[in-house]
Amino acid sequence: MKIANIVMLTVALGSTVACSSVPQNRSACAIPDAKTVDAFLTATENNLGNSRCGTSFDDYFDRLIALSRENPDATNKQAFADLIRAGIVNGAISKREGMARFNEYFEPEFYSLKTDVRSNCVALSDRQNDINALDNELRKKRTGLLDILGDKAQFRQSQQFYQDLTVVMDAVRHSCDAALARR
Amino acid sequence: MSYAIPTLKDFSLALAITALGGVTTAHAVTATGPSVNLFNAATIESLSNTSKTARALESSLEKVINQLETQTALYESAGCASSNDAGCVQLRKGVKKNYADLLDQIQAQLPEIKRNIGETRDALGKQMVSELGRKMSPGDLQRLLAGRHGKMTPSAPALGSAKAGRLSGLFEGYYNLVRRGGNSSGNSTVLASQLYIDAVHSANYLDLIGAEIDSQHTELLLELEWGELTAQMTGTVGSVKELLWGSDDMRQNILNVGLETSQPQEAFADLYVD
Repeated sequence: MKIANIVMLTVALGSTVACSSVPQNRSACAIPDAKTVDAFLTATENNLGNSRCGTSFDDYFDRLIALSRENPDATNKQAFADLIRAGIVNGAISKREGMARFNEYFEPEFYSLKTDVRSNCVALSDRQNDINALDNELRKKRTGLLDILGDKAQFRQSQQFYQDLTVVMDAVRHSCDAALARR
Repeated sequence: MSYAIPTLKDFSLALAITALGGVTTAHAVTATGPSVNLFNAATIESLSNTSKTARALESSLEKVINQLETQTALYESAGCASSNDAGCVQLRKGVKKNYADLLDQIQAQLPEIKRNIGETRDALGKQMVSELGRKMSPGDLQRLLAGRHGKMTPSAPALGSAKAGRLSGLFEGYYNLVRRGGNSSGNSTVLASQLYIDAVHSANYLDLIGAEIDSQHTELLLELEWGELTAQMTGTVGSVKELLWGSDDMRQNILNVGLETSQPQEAFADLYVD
């Protein structure tokens, strides 16, 4: 009888501890309610010092986008770099993923092409896939370069890359197909 | 009876390509980069031939178009549209004959232009497969367009008013512009790609145009009633004139490609991917 009581007491205590620990974790990893980019970044970096907050990284990233959009400025780039670095250190994202995200948003050239090492005749065989990848990345660049940094020149450069790349890729793809058909 | 006037307007597409051919030839002579050789001897020769064909067409059509315009103006000012006066009938015959001459000349030169464009397409396509398709990855392609071969690449020259005057003058304007400004393989690649795509489409399209001109020519010879022919002819002549002596060319945008080199990003070196 005594043993049964001890077991029940242990279970009850365990449940209490478990219930109380969940809100604590949520609170520690909650998206900071900061109104400025700097304040938000400081709070977020602090959160990411906690290894359990890695799962909130995407929410932090999205919130930083929203905050930055309210005040587009070149200095926002530093905030994103810092957040991504913190995410890498935390283990929330890999180094590769972090670099991908930073380049997709803040670099005029297209990251999706940089990572493909196959020859063009092979790599460009699926036009729709290529175009979809470029379209998606161009949207991110619009957000990053234009909405967040307010850098029209760099976004125009991205648009120019997009335009030129689609022309050249179409031509290369067609010439490769034609060569294949002649065999 | 309806005459397919738009086909002649569309014919300008093929000739615009010949104009671009002239541009790219010039560019190749002066701007072929060390690592990308899209314009070999065969390509340059076919482009040169295409340019010459365009010049020949310009010369041969100029006289007949001038005559047509004069006759049409006289026809309209004399109110011949609804008249069967002997003079008007004579004038109609003259217009008809000149219009038939115009179609004859286009018809005669169409095969050569088509052959030249086909040769340009094939020669350029072969080089593109060799230089861009098999030797390069998508990343290499992007670096090429960005002009990053380990050195800074100046922006492409502004086209400004190079496209002014006659079709033949257009070639010289582009040629001089390219000589002055560009030595970027990236720009050259975009131009070559645009030319290739247009050549592919046009080679297919010229078959259709040829068939329609054949049909139009036959109908003209058989047609006894004028109907709306004069108005349609005026439209055709206008299209050909625009082709020969000037129109907006969207390809100017391609020449204006601004491949600025990104500023050094030392602060983010750990996050950038080259």
